[in-house]
Amino acid sequence: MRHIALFIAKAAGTISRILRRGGGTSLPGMILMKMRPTMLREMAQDLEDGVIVISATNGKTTTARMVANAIQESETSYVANTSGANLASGIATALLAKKPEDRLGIFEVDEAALPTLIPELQPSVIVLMNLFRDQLDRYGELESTIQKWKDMIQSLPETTKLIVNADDPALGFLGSQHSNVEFFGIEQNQYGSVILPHAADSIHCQKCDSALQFQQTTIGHLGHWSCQNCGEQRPQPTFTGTNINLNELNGSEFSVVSKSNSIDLEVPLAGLHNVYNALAAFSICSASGIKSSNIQKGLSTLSAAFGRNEIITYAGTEMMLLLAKNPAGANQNLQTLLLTEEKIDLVISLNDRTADGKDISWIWDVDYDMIFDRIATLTISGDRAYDLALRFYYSDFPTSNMHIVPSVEGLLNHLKDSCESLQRVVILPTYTAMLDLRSQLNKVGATHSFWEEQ
Amino acid sequence: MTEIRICHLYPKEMNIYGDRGNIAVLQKRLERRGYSSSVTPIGAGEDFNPSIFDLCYLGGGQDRDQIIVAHDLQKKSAALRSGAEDGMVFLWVCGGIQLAGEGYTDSDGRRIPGVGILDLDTSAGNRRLIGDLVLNAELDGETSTLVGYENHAGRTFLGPDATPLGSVLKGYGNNGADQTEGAVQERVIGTYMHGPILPKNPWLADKLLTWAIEHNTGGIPALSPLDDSLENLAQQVAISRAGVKR
Ligand SMILES: [Zn+2]
Repeated sequence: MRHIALFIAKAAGTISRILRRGGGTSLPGMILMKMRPTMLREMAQDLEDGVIVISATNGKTTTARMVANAIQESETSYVANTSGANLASGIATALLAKKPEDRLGIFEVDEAALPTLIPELQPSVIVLMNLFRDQLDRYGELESTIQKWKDMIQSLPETTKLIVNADDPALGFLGSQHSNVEFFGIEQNQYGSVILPHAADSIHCQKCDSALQFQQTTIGHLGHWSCQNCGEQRPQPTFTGTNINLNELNGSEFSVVSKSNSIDLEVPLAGLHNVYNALAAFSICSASGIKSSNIQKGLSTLSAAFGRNEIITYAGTEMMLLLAKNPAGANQNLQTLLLTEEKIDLVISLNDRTADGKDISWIWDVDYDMIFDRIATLTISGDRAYDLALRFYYSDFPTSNMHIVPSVEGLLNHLKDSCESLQRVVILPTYTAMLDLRSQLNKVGATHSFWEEQ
Repeated sequence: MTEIRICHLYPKEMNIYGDRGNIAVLQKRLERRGYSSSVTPIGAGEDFNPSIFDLCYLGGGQDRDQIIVAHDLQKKSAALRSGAEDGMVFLWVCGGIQLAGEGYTDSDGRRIPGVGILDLDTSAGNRRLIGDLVLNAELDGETSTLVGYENHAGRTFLGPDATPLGSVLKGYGNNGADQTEGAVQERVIGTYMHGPILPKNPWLADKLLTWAIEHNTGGIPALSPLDDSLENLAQQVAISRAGVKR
């Protein structure tokens, strides 16, 4: 039965790729789990070096890719869901493609699916990076995800190692409830702030409900936090990111200090969020016994994950794709754009389909205003382009400099027609807007299908 | 120049559905007609003085934060009730409509008292009511379509002193049972509709502003029309995405 199930599911993946129906990143796994529900557990147990699971609202795809790159340098063979299909079906599909020599699993897991997937995957390492408000219609309130993660941590066996971002107040507190835990965090630095952004979420103490104090914030509510009422505070990290230098849109350098060691890292992906991602990746690799030189090499030779800091050339113009699907992620992308003095031709595409979240109220929680004086031209697209236009209009962005082209075909035509005058094009799409854009660019020959690039 | 004074209650705790967009719309639509405005954030532990505001806004928050806010509101409820009696305009959205009522009974049967400026009561339902929300709304004898989004566990039923803001064309509304949505009582409006509600529904924004100016000056203003073409396009798209044919 096991063999028949495996055979049929694999065949479905091949057929799906041939028919070009979505790259077959989830369908084979879906069929397999229907035919043999225990298969995910069985396949995960076949990995003799164990399973690493990475979860977060933002950064899990990039971090998983970073870890995979470093592990590749150490010549360990692994299996991973690098295409970003991060539910049970996507992980089962990845496991179906496991090669006999693969010893390790590296999986990014959707934050809502994490509690139910942990008993299936029985990971040796779980990495919790951040929790921000995201697609409230789909994930529900942040607080309910925190509660589910709390219950999950309480039932973890002692042998499971947790690696947790100390700078996230909710996660820092949750991590402290498990004995086998290591924290990572970022030292106070010149890119931080003392003001909490509008969309800060975890601002009350998990233990006593009092308002938290922040000595510094980095991204959203991440930072150096403490509770004056009960004394709960940011745990002391094992891995500390320090000497951070963000090199405009090109990437960053920083050092990781752990115990008596200091390792310099170079990451070719821009922004402080990628420092967090690289720090998490370093912590995972270091805790898994990967040599520092291999981690350094793995991180410095990284290419962008699908739609995350990815550069595409179209109509002779380079365009940077920065996936933006929730307030914290979008704000962090905007902060990153502020690292360059250059004027930006900004394109934002807002869809409201299931994978984007049907509730688009989150755009009002993004601090777009911070980059108004850097915008050379603004182009607005997507299913809900007019909502986005209103977001800018009510912040006094001049409508004369706003081009509204709802359809993706219209968007590409507009970019082509104006390519002479475009300088630095940056596109902030929601998830399905990115897929639409990629598929349209693929039609005109500017990109490959993403499953051909894996 | 007349200054319209807006109070934004608990902006730190109750802000998860783009609530500041509602404040931005109120301010810009005043500014574009030559009125000035001020926004005063009032949080937990701070006093609310009903004599210095024309309009009071309260938005949606997480359950945990809403409980913190509900406790703090107890200390402000007498002042809020006196403001409502005096004709102050209220827009209380999502968690706000529940807090404006008599109270909320949660899934464990615990009772959280409300402020009592709307004659309604709320208790927790088994599942959250989530999705697009489209209404036929009526205020001051005028009707308009309103469109937005809802996401709430509470089931709200109105008493005799409150009238619904509108009847549901698409979505659940107050309770998913009686086709009503929101509540109006004098100049107090409560609604589950976020999105946020005001950018795509300029008719409602202007109704609130007319009332707020009247509260401030004592006379009913004639608001000059604005170019609402973007607002109307956004509304039409939202209505058709919600699957309502017109
Ligand atoms: Zn505390």
